[in-house]
Amino acid sequence: MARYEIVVDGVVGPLVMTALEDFEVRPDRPGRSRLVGQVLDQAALHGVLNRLRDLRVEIIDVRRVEDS
Amino acid sequence: MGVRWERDPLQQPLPRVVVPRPGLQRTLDRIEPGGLGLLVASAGSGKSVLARQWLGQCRPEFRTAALSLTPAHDDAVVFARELLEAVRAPAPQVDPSIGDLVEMGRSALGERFVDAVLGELATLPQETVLVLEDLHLLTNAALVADVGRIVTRLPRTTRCIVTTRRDPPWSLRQMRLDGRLVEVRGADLAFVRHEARQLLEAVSDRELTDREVAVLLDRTDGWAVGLQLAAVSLRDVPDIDAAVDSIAGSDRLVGEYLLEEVLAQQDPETRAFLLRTSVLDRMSVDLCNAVTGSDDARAMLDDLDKRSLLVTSLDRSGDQFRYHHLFADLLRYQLRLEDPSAASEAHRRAARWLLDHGFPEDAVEHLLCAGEHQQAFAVVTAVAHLLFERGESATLVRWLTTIDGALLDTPPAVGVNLLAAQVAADRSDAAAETHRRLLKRPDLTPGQRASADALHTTLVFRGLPPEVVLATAASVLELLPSLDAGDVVDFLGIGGLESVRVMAEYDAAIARFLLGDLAGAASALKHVLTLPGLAYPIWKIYTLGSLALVRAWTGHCTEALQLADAAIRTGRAIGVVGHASQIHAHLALALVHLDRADLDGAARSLAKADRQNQRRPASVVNRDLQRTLVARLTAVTEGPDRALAILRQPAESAVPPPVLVQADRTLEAQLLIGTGDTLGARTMLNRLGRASELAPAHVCVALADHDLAAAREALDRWQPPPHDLRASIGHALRHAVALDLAGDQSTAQVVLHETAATAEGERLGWPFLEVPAALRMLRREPVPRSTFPGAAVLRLTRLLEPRERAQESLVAPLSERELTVLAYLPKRIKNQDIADELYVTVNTLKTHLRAIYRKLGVDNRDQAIDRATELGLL
Repeated sequence: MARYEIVVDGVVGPLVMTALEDFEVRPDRPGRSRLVGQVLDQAALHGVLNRLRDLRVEIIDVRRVEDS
Repeated sequence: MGVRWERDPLQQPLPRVVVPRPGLQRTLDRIEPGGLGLLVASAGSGKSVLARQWLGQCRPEFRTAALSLTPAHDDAVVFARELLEAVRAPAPQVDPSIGDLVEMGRSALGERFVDAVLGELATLPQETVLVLEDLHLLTNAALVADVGRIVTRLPRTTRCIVTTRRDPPWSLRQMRLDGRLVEVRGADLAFVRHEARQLLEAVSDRELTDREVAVLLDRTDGWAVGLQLAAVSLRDVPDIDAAVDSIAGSDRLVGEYLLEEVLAQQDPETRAFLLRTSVLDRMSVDLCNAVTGSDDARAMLDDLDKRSLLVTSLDRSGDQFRYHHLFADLLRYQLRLEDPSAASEAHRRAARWLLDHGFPEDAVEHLLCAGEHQQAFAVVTAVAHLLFERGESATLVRWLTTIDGALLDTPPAVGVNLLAAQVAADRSDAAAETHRRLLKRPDLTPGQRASADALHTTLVFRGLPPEVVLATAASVLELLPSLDAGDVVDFLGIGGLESVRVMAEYDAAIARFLLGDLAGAASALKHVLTLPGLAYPIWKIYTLGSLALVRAWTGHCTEALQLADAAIRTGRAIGVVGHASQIHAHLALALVHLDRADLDGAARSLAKADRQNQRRPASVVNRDLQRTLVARLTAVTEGPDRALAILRQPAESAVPPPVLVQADRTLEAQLLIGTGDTLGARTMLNRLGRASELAPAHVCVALADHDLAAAREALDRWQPPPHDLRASIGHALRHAVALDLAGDQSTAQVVLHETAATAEGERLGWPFLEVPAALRMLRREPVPRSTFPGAAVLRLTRLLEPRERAQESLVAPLSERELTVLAYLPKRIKNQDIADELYVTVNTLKTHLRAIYRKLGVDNRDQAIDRATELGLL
């Protein structure tokens, strides 16, 4: 399991969060959303990114967050 | 049975509102013959509509083969079958049986299928367009790679259009360089202002100002579904300008925002209908009614269609619909968000209707989505035998793996079924792992244990050591009488107590065969034929075919022919012609054809066996069996060098079974001797030791060396079993040669003639080819009043022994000793060293060399090497 933070353009609502399942939204600067969540492996991460793209969510940044 | 779901996207009428896009259509016109049009863009960009528009309006003269992909196409067998169905719709002449080339249960289509499809497409008389829709839905990487091999190597008869949300992992650089690739990407598909206006106004049925169009275009980035949702949401608003501003003013994601807008405007019934039916990939009126529990689906669907609410009619009669994929995804998320239990309930209801109406396989997918794994398992076991017989075991493995992993307290019966599916799908490693896991379970009942063990014994074809198979089968058979029939798992609907008995006995018989106990194998298989479990025709085909092979192996050709024919006829009667169960029948036929010098017949039978073997790469034993026979055929069609090359490739079995070691090494020794390399044959045998199955080869080498004592010793060591005709004849022929060498010509002739008379009944010719010296004796003094082994067999021996043929071209043939000396010449070693190796003096060696030079008509060593090579003596 690894933790990732995905910054996207726009304000995502509950619908997108349902699609992503194990992610939550954290505050970010206006007009952006920061999604943080656990994924099982790299394949699962790509699944999340694909789902975002399918929903036409523009991805700005993806990074791994170390547990601390 | 219910109606067949329409799978062909091009049979689908275009959406009610279609905006002409002449620029993009001209782009698609640039796809060259043999070229690829790749439409890569995010969901809802209008890829499919564009492809259909182009084909329907611009290129009606093209014949279209279209396949709309779904996750079910991850099973290569399903993909291949439906691809061929799609291609055969406009081109019925395409051979549907090339689908048999796909390896069962494997992930990939395989090179042979790819080549066969390309070959078939190349013969099409007219221009064809192959459309593969939604390629991104395939997750099977090996399969996607093979699809790439098809679409990037198309013949000029065919063009291809692929629509996908993501770039496929294909190497397209060369196609791009060659100008054979036309790409249409998201930015190309984005609507421009006049297109957006047409769409917005047609769908909303309102007039919009330039500003409103520009604002919406900016907010949606020209995204087709976004514009369409916006238009739907504008239909009934009192103030368009205000509504447009609120769409533009929100910083929410446009899809999410617009879906909420559209849903908020629906009356509660429509809203509920949209959300609940979103779980359906394909909708019919009855299925929708079943899911919603109402009876207004007809009116609902027509209304949604009329309002362009992203519902597509799937057939011309308007009975089948689906939502736009992305719209359905959004609705499903919304449903899960609002009421997760309602989503499960919708799946459950869909499953119930599909079950009642004869679509159990679609029902399984819904039950899995609903989390109803117990019921899914019940349905899977009920339909499993159909999928097994169609070769779709990979789908069974997928379902059962999901069920096995999902149930917290999985009953062992699930694992036994999974094991059965893995065995059927030729996934031997996974099967061995499942078996290991099952045996560790404390709650495994004796009946389940027997089922799992019987399935494990089927790995006899996949390299499980025959000794282990015999022991396991024996323990299963010992356990069976004490078992309650109800406790034995009816895996895949083809199991149960009687099947377990058949499998254990059959696999034990195969193990005996592999160990070289041919009589034991034959009587065990004959017993299997009497079991009640043989009522299942597939078991009958396996058993008849294997018995045919064992009988042919022991030289009972007539019986083998009848058994093999019965196996193939049974297969034809139940429509499983391509099933792997017939491999042994075809191999048995090949063996008999070889005995009778019918090389075309042998090649045909081997090709049929090969078709099935290619589909089962893990079934190494059958592949090795086939290789043995291919080597024999090659020896008599292409000569010893090619055959030796085949024999020298390592066997696929980690430990080749004794029956094949004997066959392969005997042939290898014989071919080496035939090419004059007796030394090589002896070296090969010395390396392998003195295992009893090598005795026939040892006799051959000893006879070639004129080493009578060694020949007699090996002949004594080799005791052909009483009813093994092939071995008895092989033994007797070598015995005759030994007698002849010893100077007892008259006894040798008696033995030889008796043997030829014995072989004549079955027309068993191959054992004679194995002993060319015996054939030479027969030529010298043929059997009175007999034509056996006949001119056809005699002709074959010449190819086996190029040296023999070369000798015949010389006025005075070289003696055996001179041939031995000749073989040393190319090694470039000194005369003294050759003499030492042959235990002769240098003077004797020189005498041999002078004789060799004289007979070859040359003056020195170099010329002798050249001439001997030219003649085929070296």
